Amino acid sequence: MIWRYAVKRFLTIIPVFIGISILVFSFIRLIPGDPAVAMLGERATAESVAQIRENLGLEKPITEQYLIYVVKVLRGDLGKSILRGDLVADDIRHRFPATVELTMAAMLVALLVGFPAGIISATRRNSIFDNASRLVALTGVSMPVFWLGLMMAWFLGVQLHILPVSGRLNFDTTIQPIRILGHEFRTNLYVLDSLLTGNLPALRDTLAHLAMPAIALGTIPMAIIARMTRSSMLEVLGLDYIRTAHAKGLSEQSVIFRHAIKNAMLPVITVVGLQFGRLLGGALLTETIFSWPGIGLWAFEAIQARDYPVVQGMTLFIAAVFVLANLTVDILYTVFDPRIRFD
Amino acid sequence: MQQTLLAPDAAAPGRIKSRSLWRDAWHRLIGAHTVRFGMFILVTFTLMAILPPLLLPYDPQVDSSLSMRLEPPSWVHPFGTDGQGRDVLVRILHGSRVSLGVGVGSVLLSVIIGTLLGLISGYAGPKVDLLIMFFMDILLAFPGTLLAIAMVAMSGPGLRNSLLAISVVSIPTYARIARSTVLSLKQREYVTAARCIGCTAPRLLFWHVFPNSLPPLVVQSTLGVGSAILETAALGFLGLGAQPPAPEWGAMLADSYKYLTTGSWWVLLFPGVAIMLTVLGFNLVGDGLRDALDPTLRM
Repeated sequence: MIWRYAVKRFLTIIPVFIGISILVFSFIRLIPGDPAVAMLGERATAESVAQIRENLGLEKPITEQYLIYVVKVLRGDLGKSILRGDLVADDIRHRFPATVELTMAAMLVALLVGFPAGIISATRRNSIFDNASRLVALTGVSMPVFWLGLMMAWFLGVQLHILPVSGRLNFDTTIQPIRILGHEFRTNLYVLDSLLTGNLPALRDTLAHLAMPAIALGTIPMAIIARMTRSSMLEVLGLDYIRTAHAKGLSEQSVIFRHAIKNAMLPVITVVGLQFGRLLGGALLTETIFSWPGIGLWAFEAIQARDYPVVQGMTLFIAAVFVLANLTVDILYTVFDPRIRFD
Repeated sequence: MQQTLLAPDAAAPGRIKSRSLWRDAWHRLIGAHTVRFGMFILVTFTLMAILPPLLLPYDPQVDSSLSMRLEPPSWVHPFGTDGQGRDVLVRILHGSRVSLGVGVGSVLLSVIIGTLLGLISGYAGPKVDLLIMFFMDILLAFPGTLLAIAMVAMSGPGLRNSLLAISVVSIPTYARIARSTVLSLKQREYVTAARCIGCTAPRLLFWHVFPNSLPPLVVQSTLGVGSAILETAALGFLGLGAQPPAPEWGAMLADSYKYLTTGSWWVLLFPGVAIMLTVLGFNLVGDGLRDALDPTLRM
């Protein structure tokens, strides 16, 4: 049953992918004037402009250009950086693990704080804790992520010297590749790599570098999760089956943990899924501040350098990840709430 | 919306007070402390946006005095001075004009376009509906901030392009609200009756259907201004929004980033506080409006 739903749901994203590719493809037309001149600068020679136009296929009819673009993308070719000549797909492969590690850590921070805070808020409604946590949550969603990051970097990094301000590792720390059956490989998720190789100093260094960016990036989802959990928990606590559970003499703890939380979690799952996509967008700012070598920092550098193919390829990649994340959440949702499958 | 609410007055049993639903909502709205606080913030920042340019003319082009670089807060410069010797307070005051202007402007634009698309989509029949909603779904397939950043990165930095990108990104939200109102009301008797007496489609949509989507639109657009201000600041921080030396809060933070290690905390702190307070104001009022206008959406 779940498989049938999953396949059906999977088919619906095909038109979405086509739409995304059209939009991202037409990005290059947003560039004012001649894209080739814009990329190379005003002092470019006629030959190099012609070369870029040739590379981008700008001389061909637009439908043909689009089809060529789609075929390339399907082959995993997302274009080439003008600045460094690297393949965009290769750069994504190298840099994405850093971003994944950061967003995962941010989401973990958000869930570990936001979910319990929401539950306590709902069960102790209008208490000091409830009011304080609502105020903090509201302030959290009102704050620019990058500003919070800057303030943390200044206070914890520059003033108190508790945490490192930039990068993923200290220069003198190395992480050995994982060895399994004579094969060497890395996941490039440093926490995982250092754990699997039992390299505790590297693990400590990784976590220290990860802490500030993860907290800064996790603040907004934390606030949203706390607000969502509170409201959905309040709704569930008002339902008849909870009253029944109370009436048959169950303890408060048992009512909350065994009966209420499961149902209150449903809307939270949706929010978590949506926030993953937002985190990828927010990572651009957070990575820039903490010099975190993921795709966000790389996109920032590409934007500064007007390296359009990189901006284009990166946008397409993140949109694809966002759509797939939402799809996963939708399918997961049916595992928790079987009613949806029958719609 | 012109119904009256009959509420027996406990103090004088004979008198009956009547209030319109909008008035009733207004009373519920300003009854909350948080909303009053939010309104206070918004009024303050609006005054900051309107008054200083009149009372305290400022030209960012000529404002620079290198002998006063990075002075800490004092009586003369309550918020200190930045890396080019410019008064941070003056720049924040003038920056509120930019942030509020872009925030409100972009939301107005997306509300108008989004509502129109939503009304047409809900009313015009399945083919048009499918087409319009397909485009909306595509826009929603991107994380909003990222799409705005990518669009401005492509079309060239500047306030005008930022405003356009921010509004394009939020069009689908308003289109969906307007569309769902049309879909839920299309079959109602009063709409059919209006159509029967010869009401034209535009009149039907704008006069009879549209007013019903106002409460959710008002709530969403109030919250929307808050997020538009955050996005403006993010674009400014990335160097894609207002260009220096314009006093924009996000761009001011980007500038202060350079002085992170010098211990000049004031250039970092105050522009961020200004952004946070303004957005908090819109969020508080927006949440209050949601509770007052649309109790079913209450968080």
